Amino acid sequence: MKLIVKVENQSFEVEVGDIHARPIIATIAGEAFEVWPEDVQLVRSTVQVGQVASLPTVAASVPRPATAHSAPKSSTPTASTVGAKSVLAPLPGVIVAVNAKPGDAVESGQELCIIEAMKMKNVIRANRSGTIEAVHITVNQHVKHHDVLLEFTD
Amino acid sequence: MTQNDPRILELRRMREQSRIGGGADRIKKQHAKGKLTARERLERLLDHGTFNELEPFITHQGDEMGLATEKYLGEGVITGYGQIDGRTVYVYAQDFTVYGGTLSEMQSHKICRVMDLALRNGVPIIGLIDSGGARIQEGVRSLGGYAEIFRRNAQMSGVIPQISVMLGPCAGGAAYSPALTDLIIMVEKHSYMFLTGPQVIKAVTGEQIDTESLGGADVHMSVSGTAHLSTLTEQEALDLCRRYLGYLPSNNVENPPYYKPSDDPLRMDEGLNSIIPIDPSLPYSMHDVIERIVDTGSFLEIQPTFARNAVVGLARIGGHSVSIVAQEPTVMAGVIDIDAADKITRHVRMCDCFNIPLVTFVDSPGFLPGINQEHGGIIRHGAKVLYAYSEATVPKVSIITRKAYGGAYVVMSSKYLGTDVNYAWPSAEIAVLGAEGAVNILFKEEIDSSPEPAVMRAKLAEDYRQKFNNPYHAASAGYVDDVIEPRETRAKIIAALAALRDKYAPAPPRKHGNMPV
Repeated sequence: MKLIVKVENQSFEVEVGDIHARPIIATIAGEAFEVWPEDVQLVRSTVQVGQVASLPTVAASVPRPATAHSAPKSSTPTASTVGAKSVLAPLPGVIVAVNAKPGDAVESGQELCIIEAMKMKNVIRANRSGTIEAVHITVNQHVKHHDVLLEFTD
Repeated sequence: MTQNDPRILELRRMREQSRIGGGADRIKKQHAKGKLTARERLERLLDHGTFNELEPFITHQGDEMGLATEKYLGEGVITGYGQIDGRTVYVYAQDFTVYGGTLSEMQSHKICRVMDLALRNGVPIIGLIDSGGARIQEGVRSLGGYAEIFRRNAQMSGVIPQISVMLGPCAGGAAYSPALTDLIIMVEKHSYMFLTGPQVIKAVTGEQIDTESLGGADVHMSVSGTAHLSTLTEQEALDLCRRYLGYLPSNNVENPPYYKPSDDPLRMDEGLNSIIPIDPSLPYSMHDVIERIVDTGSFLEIQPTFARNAVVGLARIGGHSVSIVAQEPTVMAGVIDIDAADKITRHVRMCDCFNIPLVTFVDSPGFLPGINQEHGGIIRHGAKVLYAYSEATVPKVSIITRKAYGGAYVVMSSKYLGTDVNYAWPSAEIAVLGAEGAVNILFKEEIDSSPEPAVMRAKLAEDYRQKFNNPYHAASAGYVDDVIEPRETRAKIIAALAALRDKYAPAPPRKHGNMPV
């Protein structure tokens, strides 16, 4: 998908790869950028249609050539559902590294912790930007599937 | 005969009336919602000028609840045949401007008519679905109409490709027929699927939810796994339908179309030789591996956001269609869980139906451990993967890129499930379980009685790794056919599939199998 993006009167031609991939690869003048959009919250019970952040807007607001891992700021007010505030363990395992502490401001796509499981070091990344309120894990701790690892302030 | 022959004029008038469906006002409303009309959709789906309509003058036959006063030629669905890339397809497009596209007995009659013709001629049937569900005024006749369609969907399954493009609110039966077809494409923010809508849910359970959160494209793509592909616009959805059909044959006795590749079959990608990290616990992108091996730009991922630990899709390699199945180490280590098992099984069986060879990239660390997985039935779901691979008679090639452990190795197209050619990369680790787990079981006494158990355990684990963390133990036992350099993979797959092109592997005659579900 090709997009023309205007930033302060300067036009960029942006080739956006598979928008379902994470990261999305956006190519600007031959240079590839990894983009970690804030994932749309899927199950929400109170948000009305129309408020939902759509993939197209996310993809279109992607290119900021200055920084790789540029995380588009979503204006979507996320409801206080579990997924929005908490980072859950995608699989059971042992925490081998914790890279965030309460009060840290993290960008979407930033590494939060590493879970060793299934003979792999699985990097857990922030799926949104925000400030970390609580860290519920320590190194060498066992976590179960869907345990809350960290929480954002909002 | 002059131009003013009243019989000709009458035909033209009738055709025009049929063409405008529910009338100019409702067409305007449809456009105001950012949607195309059924006819516009068909024009954009099919090769230019190839559409031929059937039964445009059909109307409903009932007179219940005011139906008799409001009749529309065509009965809310446009049916016929046309071509996609020069190949015949049968199509039906529901017309939301007529009774909200709701299904009546006669609408069902029209749909079944093109389904029957598609089957008889061995060509795909495509439904453009935009329907509020059953036509309530018709009562059981409408329901019977649905049953007629469902039965045909089931009977045609695996004989001709059936594709559903969801272009509106598809409630109840309008969601069930697509669920029986091979592919569901949804349009984000335009199409919804659910059996009971938000109002019914609120009345019964008290839960409040809007249509998008209940049955929008995002939900069906990422959570329920009902939809296979989604797009931002109707046009993209129709284009995607055309692209998808380019990988498929017209029926189950044809082979998929061959397109002369622009990509060199012998192309070696040196980058592949360094793509697997030396540290076996660090991830790499399997998507990257796939893209580097198949014909450039040909990979069409199916269900890209559902069970992302598994990857399925269609691609071309050396110009021939192949089915890709793989595991993604960057997502949940690539484990097999219930959703991944369902996703893989469905794809393997779809491709086997339509003679598309299976190419499986294996990085299989295990099944997802956990009480919810076991209680959720990972046994019967995982068994489906075994069933599908064992049952498939198309050419099957597998490449073990790294981990291949225990049962999760066996289910992923392992040699004695009937995989024809089995390759492993030098990074392959094929074992029953990981080194630490294995030595804890095998050498419990040695470790416990050792003065320094931790040192003993580490030493034994290292020995185990030396023995199993390479493909040569499996190769010496005949469990892999060859160990290849990653850069050679493309050429090796092309050669293997060429050597398997005339594979004949008849299954024993039976009514049908009894796959666990």
